[in-house]
Amino acid sequence: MKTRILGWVAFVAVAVMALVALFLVPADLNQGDAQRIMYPHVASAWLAYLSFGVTALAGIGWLWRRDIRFDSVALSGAEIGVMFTAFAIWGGMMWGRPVWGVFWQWEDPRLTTTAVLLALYAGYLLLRRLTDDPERRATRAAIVGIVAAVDIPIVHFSVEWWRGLHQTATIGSPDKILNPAAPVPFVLTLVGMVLAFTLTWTYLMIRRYQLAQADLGREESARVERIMEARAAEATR
Amino acid sequence: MTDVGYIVAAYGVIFGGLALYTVTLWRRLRRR
Amino acid sequence: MTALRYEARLALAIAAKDARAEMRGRQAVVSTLFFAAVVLLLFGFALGPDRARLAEAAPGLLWLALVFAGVLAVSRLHLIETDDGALEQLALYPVPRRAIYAGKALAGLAVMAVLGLVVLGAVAVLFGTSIGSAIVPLLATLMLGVVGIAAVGTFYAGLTVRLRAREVMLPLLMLPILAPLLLGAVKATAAALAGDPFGELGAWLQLLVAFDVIMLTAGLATYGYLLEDG
Repeated sequence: MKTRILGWVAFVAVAVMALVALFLVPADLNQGDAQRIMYPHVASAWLAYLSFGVTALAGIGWLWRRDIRFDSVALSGAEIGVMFTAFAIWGGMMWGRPVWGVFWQWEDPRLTTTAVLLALYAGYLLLRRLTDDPERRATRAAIVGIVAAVDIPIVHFSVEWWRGLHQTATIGSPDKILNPAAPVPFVLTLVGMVLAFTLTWTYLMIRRYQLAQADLGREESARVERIMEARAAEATR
Repeated sequence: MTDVGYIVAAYGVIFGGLALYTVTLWRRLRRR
Repeated sequence: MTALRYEARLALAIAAKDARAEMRGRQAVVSTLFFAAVVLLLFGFALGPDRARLAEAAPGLLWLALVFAGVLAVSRLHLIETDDGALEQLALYPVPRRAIYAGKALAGLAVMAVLGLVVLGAVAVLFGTSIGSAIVPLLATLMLGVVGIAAVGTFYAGLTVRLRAREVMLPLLMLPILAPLLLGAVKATAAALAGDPFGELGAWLQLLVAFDVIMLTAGLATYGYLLEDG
């Protein structure tokens, strides 16, 4: 019941923030209306990384406690995370084209690191599909999730250094907005968007977790059925 | 494409995608 | 004998066993080498014949060839084990998991080091880069880079060896992790060849060291789980 309320609150928040970002907040002086894309783009990126962290931590939880619920959390984080990662990249490209003139800029640490993140998520999810035993699957996934999480900061740092050498000016980075001296309406809109998205993320995580647990139950009963059938077949031989 | 096109593409995919995923989750949960 | 020394000797013993197995089946090492050579050849066709462009791309091509050949090299070292269930046997012994990982990674490093030297020479010849003047930083970069490939590759090879579709899962899992290593190694190589005009070589080498240390630690810490239920 509480989850349902959360869901509707999140929905309203997201709808309101979308309208605010599109119509209420003023356009940027330099970038024009295209800058409005920044709000959902940054919010998505934040959630992509949060999800990733949750997946890695849940993996540690599984290895440590062997409670399969941790793995359900990890799976939820990965599936929802890959979605937000795709959103972040797409938003970044749609924002980049009008502002930078190109869809992609290799030295932008955020964009490039998020692309690597997408590849890591994809590998993680594919790996899960290839293992049927729930405990082995959880262990393999946990290991991969942890190593991938360790890699992400290294990627980010290395691309930042790459950019530093190339000395490209990054116009229109969210840094300007996150700077406290930035205009208040921009900051408020960004914060609002991030909050609305985070509420949605929480709701989706809860629902996906419930689905994962339900799937485990079905897997288990299917397995029991098969064992019973095999035994029955043997008995009648 | 004017800026509006990019904005529509960005918002459309992100917010539309969120909606789509939510609905898909609901359906998968209902089947359980 | 302290526990650490015991583990170290164990790791060396495993490494020696694997290396010997590889040398005996010499075709494996040789065919990995030939694979790297073929990759370089194709790069030549794809990017040539302009010598200037090839020379400029040489550091990138060197490391791409090493990374791709590295995938093959590490997968082989774990295949030895599965072919007769030896990996399961190994997991049964009360052997510290870290030692198994260290041993396999060492064997992988040995193969990669040989691979690295040969490919470096081939790149110098095919793409016209003069390595003589920068030989020390080049070798340092080479070593740091192949340590990373061996560390990461051994780990994922162990993970994927019992999976379905392991031929595609190994590169799919391993290569994104290696992105920062690739970047650092290529940049360091390019800087070394150019005589380090901007003084960036040190920083890139530091990145490689950090990557190696972090990945080796992660591998040592989690390889045990991989053997138990992986």
